[in-house]
Amino acid sequence: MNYKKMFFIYLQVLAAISLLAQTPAFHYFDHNKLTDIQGEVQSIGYEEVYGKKSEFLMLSIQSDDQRLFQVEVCPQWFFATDIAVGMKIRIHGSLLQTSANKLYLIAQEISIKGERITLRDSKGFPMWSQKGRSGGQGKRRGPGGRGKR
Amino acid sequence: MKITFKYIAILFGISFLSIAIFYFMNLNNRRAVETQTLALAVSEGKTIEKVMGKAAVYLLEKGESDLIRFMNEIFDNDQVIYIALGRSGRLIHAATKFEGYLPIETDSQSVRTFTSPLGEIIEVTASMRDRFGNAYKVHIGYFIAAIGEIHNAAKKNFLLLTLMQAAIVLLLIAFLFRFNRQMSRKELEVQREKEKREKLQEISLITAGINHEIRNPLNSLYLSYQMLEPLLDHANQEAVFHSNSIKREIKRIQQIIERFSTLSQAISVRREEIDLQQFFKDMQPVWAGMARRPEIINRHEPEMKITSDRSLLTQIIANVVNNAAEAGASRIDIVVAAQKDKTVFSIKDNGPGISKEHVKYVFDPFVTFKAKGSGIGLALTKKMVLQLGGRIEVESAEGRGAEFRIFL
Repeated sequence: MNYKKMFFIYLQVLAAISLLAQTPAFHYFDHNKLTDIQGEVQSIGYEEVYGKKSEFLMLSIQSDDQRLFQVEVCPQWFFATDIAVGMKIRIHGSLLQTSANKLYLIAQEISIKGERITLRDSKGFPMWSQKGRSGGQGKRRGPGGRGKR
Repeated sequence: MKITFKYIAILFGISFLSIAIFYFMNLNNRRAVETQTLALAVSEGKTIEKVMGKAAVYLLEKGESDLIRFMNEIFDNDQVIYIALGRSGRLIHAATKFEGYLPIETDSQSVRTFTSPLGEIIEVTASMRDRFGNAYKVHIGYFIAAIGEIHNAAKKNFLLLTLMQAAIVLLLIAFLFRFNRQMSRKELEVQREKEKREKLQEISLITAGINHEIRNPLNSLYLSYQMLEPLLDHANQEAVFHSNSIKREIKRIQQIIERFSTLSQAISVRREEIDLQQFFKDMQPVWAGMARRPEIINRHEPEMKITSDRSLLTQIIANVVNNAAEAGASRIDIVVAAQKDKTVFSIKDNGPGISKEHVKYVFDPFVTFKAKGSGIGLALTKKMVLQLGGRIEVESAEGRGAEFRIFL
């Protein structure tokens, strides 16, 4: 095997790694690909999804049908609800399939401990970017009756 | 028009209908402004689409990267929210100012608008093919801040106009209602005046009849009495008592006839300067002749003088004082004071007062609330006061006396 061929294989491996990376290259909230999942929080992390703008809350969710989802929630400053590994969670969002077994979801609304938190509008506009919203959480709808759809 | 339930319902109906008409007219205007601004934006978008299409074809000749660079330059514009480039149905480049917000429709054509929290977004989609036949779609989503401002202004104007028009309508209706109420009151007053006039006409007829039918026989009766009186045995106490009784009653009937006549006849006025101190001194014999004499106290500035008809003024004061005494007052205060260009006689008593429902009828002829009243005294008093160019009013409450005020 010559170096040229090895370099070519190396580039292909890099491309494959990039494809398998947790964050897809042109990922956006596709309002035509909405889905609901329900499952358990496997891990909680933070990631600079959109450049260095701010760190996003990322959840790994094991769905009830045993599929593993990487869920992009919102900037970590915007999320004010306690969340822990092992919690049951329900998510409505836009599904992106980055590879055969890697599923990526951009959350529009999440339900946790009976509380519903709206993070984006129906076309994906982020609640944290709305005018006049500075430090709160998304629209909440829970047993307390806060917020509205 | 009489104020009835129907009338009020009509007023409410008209005001509601007017407000509703104004509301829909304003709403229509607001919608027209919104639609027209959007139509303008769409028309502008169509021009952008054509320019974009031509530019993209030209740039694709050089390569995709030139087109992407060009799109990125467009994206740097503040008004642009997102850009996207699709090739053969797949997205090959995109950028957005809001994390993950890319509301494109891959099958959309030309220009579309949709609402977002930022306002109305205009998405221009230009389609083209490169020389290899690959289909490309360029999406540019932008917003025009002025559209939002125009929409907000239209919304504000709509609200302001509707509120203003509603306020004007309500004010007009309130004015109409008040005007109508005043007119109704005036109508009622005119009606009452008419009734009073008719009553006075009746009184005139009755008085004429009394004058004609009773006065002459009464005079004959009095003459007969005068002739009979010296023939009486003055030592007989009973005869003297009955004689005096006859004389008193004849005098009383004569007085009543006199008052009836005065009520229906025109009163002539002869003005002169009256010294009030002397006037009240002259009133003493009048008070002395009263059947029930209460304590009468009069107060006025020393050397106060007025110009009026002495005879009428004496009758006016005597009538009011007499009325209070007959009602059962034990004290009457007469205060005379100058008020602007008028002289005000306040005659206040501590009698039983007049109830609220009776007080408005006290000056009506033949209306009396006393057991032995004729209903002439105060009516005559009012007539005399009016004849002097003044007015008379009364303020009273049951159990708290009455105050008559005469403005001359």
